[in-house]
Amino acid sequence: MTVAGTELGPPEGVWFGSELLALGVDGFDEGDDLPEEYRELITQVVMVQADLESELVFDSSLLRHNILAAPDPRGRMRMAKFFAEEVRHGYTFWSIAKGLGVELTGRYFREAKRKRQEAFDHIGAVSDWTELAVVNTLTDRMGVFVFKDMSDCSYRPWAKVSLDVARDEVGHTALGYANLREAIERRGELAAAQRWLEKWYPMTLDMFGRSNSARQWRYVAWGIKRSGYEELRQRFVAEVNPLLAQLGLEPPDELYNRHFL
Amino acid sequence: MSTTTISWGDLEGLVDALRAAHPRVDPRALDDGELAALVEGLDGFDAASGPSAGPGDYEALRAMWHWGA
Repeated sequence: MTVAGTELGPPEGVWFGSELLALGVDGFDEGDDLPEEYRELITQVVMVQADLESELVFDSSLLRHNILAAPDPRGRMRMAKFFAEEVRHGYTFWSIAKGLGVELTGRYFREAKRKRQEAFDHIGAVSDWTELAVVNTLTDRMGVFVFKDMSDCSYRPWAKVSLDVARDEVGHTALGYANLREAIERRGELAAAQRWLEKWYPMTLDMFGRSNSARQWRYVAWGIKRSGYEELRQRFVAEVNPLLAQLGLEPPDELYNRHFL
Repeated sequence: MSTTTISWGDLEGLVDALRAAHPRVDPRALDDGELAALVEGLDGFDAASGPSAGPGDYEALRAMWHWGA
């Protein structure tokens, strides 16, 4: 749904790719001379994703940590396959960042005092299997929405990978949900799952971005993203809440403990 | 002709039957409606013999089919 002039829709005169139309182009490839604002925006998009997943190319501690958190051999096998896909994403994002002139190194990930999304730091600290199931159910589903929305991104190297990444994230969020269902139905962890949900639900909603962000419409104008943040957030809520309810979980109010409205 | 009844009450059996019937399908590429159509088209599937599926059952089916075991 897009409604001009509201939080769900772009302001008057902005539509998907409107800036590109003014330039007479329909997209860019690696190595093209990019308009300054466009370069800044597409680099930001790539860096947000690289900030989490490209670190896996340099530091295997998260893989080991999460694989060993699984309660049985089947869970460990599945998490190993899961991380094989995440490492591939990390390499892909690293490669696209390099094409934009950003060389990500192990030192960058170890030492840079960079601004990260709050949730990213928390993901690195997850040690409980049921919490990890909640994280995958929520944040990887967020990734599905975000990447599908960029499947026709005007930066062609990014468009080329977005649908593949989105498909992988469908598998990741399904695995998280299956693990969560097992934790609740076979190990009686409903109360623990509810506590983790109340921690992660607001953080996941925050990850979509602020509803009144001016920058979101610059992404739309340059044909990088198709939708505004609030529209994607609402579609996410409509999809995930019935899934949670089927397990007996109660999603918090959408405004509960939110830091970025 | 299959004599085995398949239902949503046996997720592993359902996935085995789907894998056998549709070896090239990637379940991550299918939405719930498309998964439902494949399930209902299985030989031996009997909707009345088990619980009906909610959205979480499709998600669990997708996971079992894709991740194995």
